[in-house]
Amino acid sequence: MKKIILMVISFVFSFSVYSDNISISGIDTSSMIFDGKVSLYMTITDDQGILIEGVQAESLEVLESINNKTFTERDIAFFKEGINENNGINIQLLIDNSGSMYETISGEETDIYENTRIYSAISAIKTLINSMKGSNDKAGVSYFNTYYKELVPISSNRNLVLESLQMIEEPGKDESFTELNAAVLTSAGEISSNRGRKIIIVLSDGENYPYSLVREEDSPQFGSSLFTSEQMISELKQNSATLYGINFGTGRDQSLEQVVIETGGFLYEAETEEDLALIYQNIRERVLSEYYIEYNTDTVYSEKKFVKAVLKEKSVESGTTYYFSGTIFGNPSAEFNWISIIAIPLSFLLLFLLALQKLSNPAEKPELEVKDFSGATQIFNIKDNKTVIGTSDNDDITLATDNDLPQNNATIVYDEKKSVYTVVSEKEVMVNNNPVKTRILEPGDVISIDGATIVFNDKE
Amino acid sequence: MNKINKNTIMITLGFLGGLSSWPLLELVLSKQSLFSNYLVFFMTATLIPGLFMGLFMGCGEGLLNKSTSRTIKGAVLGLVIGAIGGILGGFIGQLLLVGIIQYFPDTDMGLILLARTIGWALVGICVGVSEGIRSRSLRKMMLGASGGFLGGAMGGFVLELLSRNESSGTYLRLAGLLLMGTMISVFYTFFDKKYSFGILRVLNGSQAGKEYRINQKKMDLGSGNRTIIFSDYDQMSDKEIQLNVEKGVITVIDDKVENNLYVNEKATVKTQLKYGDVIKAGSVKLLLEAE
Repeated sequence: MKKIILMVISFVFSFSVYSDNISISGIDTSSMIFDGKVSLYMTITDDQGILIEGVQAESLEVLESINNKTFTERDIAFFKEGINENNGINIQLLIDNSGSMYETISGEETDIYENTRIYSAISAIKTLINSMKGSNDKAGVSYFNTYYKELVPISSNRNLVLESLQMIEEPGKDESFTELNAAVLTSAGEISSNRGRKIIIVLSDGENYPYSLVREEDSPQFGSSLFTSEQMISELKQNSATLYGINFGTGRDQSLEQVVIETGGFLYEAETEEDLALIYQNIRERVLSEYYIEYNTDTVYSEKKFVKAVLKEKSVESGTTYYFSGTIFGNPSAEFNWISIIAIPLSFLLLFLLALQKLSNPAEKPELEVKDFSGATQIFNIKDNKTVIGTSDNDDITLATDNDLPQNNATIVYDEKKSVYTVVSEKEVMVNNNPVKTRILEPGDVISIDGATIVFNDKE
Repeated sequence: MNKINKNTIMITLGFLGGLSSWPLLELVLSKQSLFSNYLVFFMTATLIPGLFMGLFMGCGEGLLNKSTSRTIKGAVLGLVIGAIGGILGGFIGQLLLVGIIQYFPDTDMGLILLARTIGWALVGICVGVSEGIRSRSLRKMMLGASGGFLGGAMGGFVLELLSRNESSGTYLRLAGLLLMGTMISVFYTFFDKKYSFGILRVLNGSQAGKEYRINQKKMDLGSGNRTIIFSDYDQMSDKEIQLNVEKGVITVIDDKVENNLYVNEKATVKTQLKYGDVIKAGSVKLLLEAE
């Protein structure tokens, strides 16, 4: 049945443009980190644009490059025809809803809705959606004129798509522009988060006719931006999406041809509602029957790796696509500098020196370590037989103190006969949190006076 | 010679971890094409910073206690846990990166940087948590993980930013690794200090002036190798006293038969402490201070 449909299409429609006989329509690197494998989706057609079935892995070659110049052959690890029949496709239907879509197919004005291009387009889409029953395909719908509007995001609920088609209404005068490029670009961005095979089918009856260019003022949605073919291709490739185009009616957009070819898609011509229905179906059949290849890549560093496929028996190459292959570490040095190894023994040497550092300050001579109420610490060596601690500038150790507190003095007295130091005070001071007026000091005793903490240190 | 404190030691160790990991990481990166697949390459490359940073930072407690055996044990444990963290963190970061590229192919560099930063943050967690595992302290593990996460994320973010430069990537990667190691230890130290219950300052003897941070809910002091070590003081048993912290209240306990504990010169077996208290255990005198 598939062959019959394809043959009918090939006779009924004239394909105005053919891409290469082999085209890479999708690339998947999600398992590369685990098994070093990269997956490709490919379409293979003959010179009439008809799908070729039954191609074997032996007939194919996958080439990879880190610079897009020198390519190396890669081993094909797995090969399967028609992989999307099991996994399903994400189809974004993008419909031109400019003023001219409300004319007849031959471009005449009409008051009868059933005679308009938009009616034919909607009817063909309904046929496509109904044909998806029982499959794993998902669909979404957007339209464009002066504005781009997403009616339904891609989902498996196809009834929502059918219902949303009723929301397409004839645009007013200011809404009748054809923002074709902006719509393709926006649509490519919107389907980016969908997993698996992604395609956009854009139907239009004319060329890109942007509001800002014609009116010479900012578009209400896209401002002054004018989008090029290159931008569209880049966005579609980045999102691993393939663009298919359908020219329906009298107008043609010249740049659309380049975009569909570069992204691995096809450009179709349709003249009737029946043509449209068959084309939509043909596109779906093409994607469902895509070939799937897994190949082994290497670990050579490159932010991007470029890939192309070759149909050996016909010596036909696909266009080149790429995938991101950067690592968490970024770009390695071209050559390892062996002198840098010195950093390792140097680190251990510094570790050794660190281990020799002093972590304590045992006293060699009698001293007082004074921490005043502000937290500042000073060390005073005890040189005289009497060391007066107080708040006066004339004292041996002057404490910075809070004037609101009652002030006190203490004296550290050295007894040469007994070789001991004693703290003496008229009022009580605290030594090790005990009130005293006189007390022989031992190394490590803590004297509290006027909000200051004084540690008596001495060689033990 | 002036004494250095714990913060300086830990930050220096983090710096040395980054420094020592640089040449081997560069060697692995330069030989990327020799690896049979990306998985082995990532596991090898991400293991190195985790391993060296874990090793050096694992030495910290041993150096502070001047204990060679504890230094070696901490280094080995830090090395093992850091290496595991390196593999896990780098691997998860790369998985996130692949996932982002795969399912958000139009993403900007910001999201890619985020994925890689998360990976380095995981490396930091494992480096930071190793000392908590060694000392079997859940609290220390949490503090280490917090510090490691922030330090790893911050250092890793800068490492990734610097690695983007193709012309002088190797030296920028060195700067990134130094910063990452330093940041892990800076944040580790920051959390260690912020959530410490207080400081024990040694008042006498060979360790006079040395400070020990109370950062665990149970800490032992004595001459044994699993305690805060006072082996060079008289009258110190393997485990002379214990400090317990419950709801922020620090209690000192001496449950030995031969009780030798004094708080503010009063003999005790168990006392709730307040800042400013002077503790004498065996021959060592300690002052409890607020952080």
